[in-house]
Amino acid sequence: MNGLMAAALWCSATVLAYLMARLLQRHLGMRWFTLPVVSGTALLLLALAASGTPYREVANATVWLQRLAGPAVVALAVPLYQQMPQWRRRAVPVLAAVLTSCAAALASGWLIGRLLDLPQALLLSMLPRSATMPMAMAAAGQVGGVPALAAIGVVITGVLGSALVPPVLRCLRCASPEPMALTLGLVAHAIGTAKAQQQVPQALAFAALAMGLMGVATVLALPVLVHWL
Amino acid sequence: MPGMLDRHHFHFLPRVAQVPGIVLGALALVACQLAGEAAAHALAWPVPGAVLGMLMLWGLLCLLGRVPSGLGLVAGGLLSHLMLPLIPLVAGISEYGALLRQHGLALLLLCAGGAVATAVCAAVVFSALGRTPR
Repeated sequence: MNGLMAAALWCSATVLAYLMARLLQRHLGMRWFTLPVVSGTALLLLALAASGTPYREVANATVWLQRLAGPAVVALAVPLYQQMPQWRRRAVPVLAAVLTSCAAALASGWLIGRLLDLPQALLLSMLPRSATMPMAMAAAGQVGGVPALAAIGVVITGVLGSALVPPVLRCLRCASPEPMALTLGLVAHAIGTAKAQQQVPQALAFAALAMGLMGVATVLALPVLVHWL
Repeated sequence: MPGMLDRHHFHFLPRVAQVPGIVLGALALVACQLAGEAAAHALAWPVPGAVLGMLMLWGLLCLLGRVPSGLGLVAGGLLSHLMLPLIPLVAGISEYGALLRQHGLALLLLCAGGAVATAVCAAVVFSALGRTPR
């Protein structure tokens, strides 16, 4: 099969898997296994296994589809800009919370990873797990991690984080809407933001903002941290 | 049948007048990404160019004071399907099956512990600073 045919075939297979994943999510509701990136990837892997195609071939055939992730990350500037009026009044606590929790996410990941004796590439891939997925995958790739493994860390953190944040904040007695939304966005990126939409819709802007800022802070800090270690 | 071809059936298609704005918006996104990549390369700082490009676009929007409608449309479209271009990359986990089986529990522990530590820091700092009189 020539390159162009393979590209057309596997790009459409990916789009099809993604559309089926979205349908599944609409019918089964928000669960961890109905996240389009989880079920869509599972469907694509199923197609790979059924056709006996090696992953390398699909990776090469879908390069142009993968490149759309770059402009999509740039596009995150638009909602971040649009939300500015809603948080400018609280800029100091928001930025302070972003910076400390970014440091906490990187440090706790590194410490626990070291304690559990994770191999270096896996550990590096886990560090940006609180950033939004396209940013985390790109950042991990830049510092010697593996984008696909970074995606696993992002999904696990998103699912566990959005389940753990509400009880943790209730223990700390700061479960009011604004800190709740902000923390959900900081810890659990898009999955946490979806949770905030259900639980504290009045403070949703804080979650979306926290997700964007956390991604930027993590991506900028990660190479510095890795350089030190 | 009358009404079959009414515009509202095709709300997902851009109107002709919007096309130049959309093209410009898409070009702006790509230009910011390329500029970000050039900056990352020039600074020899291993950060993804797209993230620097995002910061540049944010700065430009702050200077401009509004979001051009074409850019808003392209950005909205890309962001509502943010996960699509990632699926082929995430499928790369198929090459790390053994590694993930071996360290699966450790990954769960790391993510859970890290999430709690991050949440405590975020909530404590935000509440402490947010409680100052307004």
